[in-house]
Amino acid sequence: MKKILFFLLFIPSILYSGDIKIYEINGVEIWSGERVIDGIVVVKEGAKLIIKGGTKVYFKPFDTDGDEIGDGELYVEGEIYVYGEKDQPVIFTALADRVEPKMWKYVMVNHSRYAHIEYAIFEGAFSGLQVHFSKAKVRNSIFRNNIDGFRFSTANIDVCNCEMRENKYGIRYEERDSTGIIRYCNITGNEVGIFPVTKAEGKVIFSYNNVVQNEYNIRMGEDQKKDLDFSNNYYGFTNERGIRKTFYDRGRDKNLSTVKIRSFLKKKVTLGEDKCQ
Amino acid sequence: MSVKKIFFTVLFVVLLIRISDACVGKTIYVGHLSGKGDEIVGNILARLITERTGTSVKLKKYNDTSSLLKAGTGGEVDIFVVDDRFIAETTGLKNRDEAKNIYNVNHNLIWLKAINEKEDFLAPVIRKDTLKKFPALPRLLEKLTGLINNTQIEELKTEVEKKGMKDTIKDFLKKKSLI
Amino acid sequence: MKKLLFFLFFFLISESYGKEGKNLSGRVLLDNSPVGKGEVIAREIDKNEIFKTETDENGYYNITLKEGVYSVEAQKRIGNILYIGFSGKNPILLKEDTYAGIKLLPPSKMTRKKLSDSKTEIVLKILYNGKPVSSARAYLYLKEKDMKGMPFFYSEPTDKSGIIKIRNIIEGSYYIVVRKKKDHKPLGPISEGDLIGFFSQNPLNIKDGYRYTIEINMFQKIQDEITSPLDIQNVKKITGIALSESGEPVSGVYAFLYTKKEMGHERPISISRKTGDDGKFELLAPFTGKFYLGVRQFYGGTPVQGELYGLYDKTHDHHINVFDNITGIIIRVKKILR
Repeated sequence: MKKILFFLLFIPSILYSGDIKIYEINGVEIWSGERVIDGIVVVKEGAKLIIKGGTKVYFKPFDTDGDEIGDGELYVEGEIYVYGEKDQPVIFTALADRVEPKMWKYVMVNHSRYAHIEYAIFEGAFSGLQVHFSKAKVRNSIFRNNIDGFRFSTANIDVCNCEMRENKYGIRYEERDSTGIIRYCNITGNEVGIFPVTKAEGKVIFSYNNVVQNEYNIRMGEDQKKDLDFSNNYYGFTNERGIRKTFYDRGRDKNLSTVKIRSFLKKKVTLGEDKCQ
Repeated sequence: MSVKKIFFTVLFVVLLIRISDACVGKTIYVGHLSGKGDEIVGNILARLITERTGTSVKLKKYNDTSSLLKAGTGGEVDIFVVDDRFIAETTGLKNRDEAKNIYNVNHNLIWLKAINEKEDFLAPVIRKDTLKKFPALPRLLEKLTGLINNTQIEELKTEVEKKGMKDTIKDFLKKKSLI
Repeated sequence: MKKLLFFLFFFLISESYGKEGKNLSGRVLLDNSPVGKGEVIAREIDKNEIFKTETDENGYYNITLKEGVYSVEAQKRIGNILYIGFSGKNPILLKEDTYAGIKLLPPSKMTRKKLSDSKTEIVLKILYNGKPVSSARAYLYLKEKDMKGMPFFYSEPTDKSGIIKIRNIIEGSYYIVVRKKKDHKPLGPISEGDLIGFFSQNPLNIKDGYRYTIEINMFQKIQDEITSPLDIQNVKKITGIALSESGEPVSGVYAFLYTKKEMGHERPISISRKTGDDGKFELLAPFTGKFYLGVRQFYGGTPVQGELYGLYDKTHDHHINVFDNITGIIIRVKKILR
């Protein structure tokens, strides 16, 4: 197991919310090595958290409210810069021998000026990364073994060369006035690859992604009123009929809206960080 | 402080502010009785709701009809299913329409469209407050109409013995093209 | 024996202390003329206790009631028509002496017709001074006490003929209110000059397989006032100021208070009026405890890009513990995603 753990070295303030420890970051803080979060770390508005390549952030599994979801979280209202490297990724995971979904809550970027994530791995969370009311750039990162790999609403996002796999939902979103692009990603092996839950108008573009081998590559939410265009992705089939079978949309239930594909890719997309320039 | 000012400012008024479902979202509690068949029906509802809406759903088991009704009235559970026995035990009535009215007036519970109208009658019952929060639920649960009857539940019980509850329910809903 | 009598006297005095009645008064009008000998009915909601009084020759009424939440209506038969009116303040929380004017209108007409299938349809025709009202909306409530809160359903606006059709509402009983707001927003407070109307036979019991055709008359709201059915026992006041990032007061934003950290999973428990040029707001917490505090620019829906928004920043999750009146709160406001 992880034998040597470097605990939080610089903690400006430790508070309690009920039984949960709250660590507030108010200035600029840099993380490296190994960190264990046994509560909630809050990056306050105006503060900045920088996480260096190779850092392992462990969330201790604990559930004080009994909702069967771990309560550990990293909550960012300031700015976060995760500078993983190809051979030195930053890992956000549970402090457990066997990592399973929901052991910790999420990295939540909410009302933040900016979030920059590259070469990060998110696993064992309820949601690996959630972005709301914020601008975020996510590169070369892996979201695996979570309930939601990546989740967002009302955000400006730029996601490139990432992998969402073995989650319940690879990407789950309530678009709600979001804008942005998700490209050159592998979205595979999830129960649902892409899940527009509600309020999407197609202002977030998905293109040049491999959305393959999910139980459903795309599922339209019960409350998603508008048809959405998911053209220019690879869905593992060379004909539209095959592709349509991987969608759960109006084709299966007349009350749902339709996944539109004006054009689709017939070959698997080659990924790489060079694609994100 | 003038009460008029209170009136001006303290609301439950004609407005609704939502900040979006950040975090882990809302949870719906589905109640069911302790019998195997009741548990299966509860699981079908739970799985359908969570798969289609993305909402977290939790199951709560009750030993008798009056406890489950009380849980529904008190807000401990959001949805449960009633059959004729449940209706008779909780209202002393055989007439479904009269019972429906009692649930509405006395318990603030609304019967949704029956998913089985025949002798093995089944109707989901939902709290009024839950219905306000999840207005799409009636339409969703209506999709189960005609799919659950006593024979079907007996078959599912056998399958549960072999495959477990989770897989049985998932396969059932998939086979019916509901998820 | 004397001791017992003394004790009983003392007991009765103390029991009645603080429970004196509140005065509900108002004036009943028909076509702007006072209605004498009109019947005014105050019904205590949920308890179904009914209290009645009569208007004087100038249309005024006055009734003393115990504190509670009431629905107040008036009626007067003139010729063959039983005119009915509802207070625009319904449901009224009677915590202090209250004025509730009532305008009488022709009663709502309703017909019910069996349909060939098991669907339901409500066809509403909305009138003001006998003429169709376009751009009005119908609001359906599951509980009478909710009639100023979040509706179960609200319709699209009425067409030029004042008609709106609502289909496939599930069986049950609904309280129907119609409103036409000058700002055309479906939700938000009612202002002076807005039109409002109540289905005079509320609640409507809907059965599958029927079409309900209903005509509802509206009246004009004459006071810019919001009332609330809250049970206010231990109200605390929170005052503060909304400031821009550069420290200037921000006008035109509302402060709000939630009871849950996940703001947005429920209705706010309190909303201030819009801030003026001084950026100041006043909120009222209906009970003591922990609340979550912020300000935003728009009513209803998820905040949108560019909207002015800010959260109380003295605690990590924006909560504020309210055990007494609180002053001097500062909330920094910025535009979302700008």
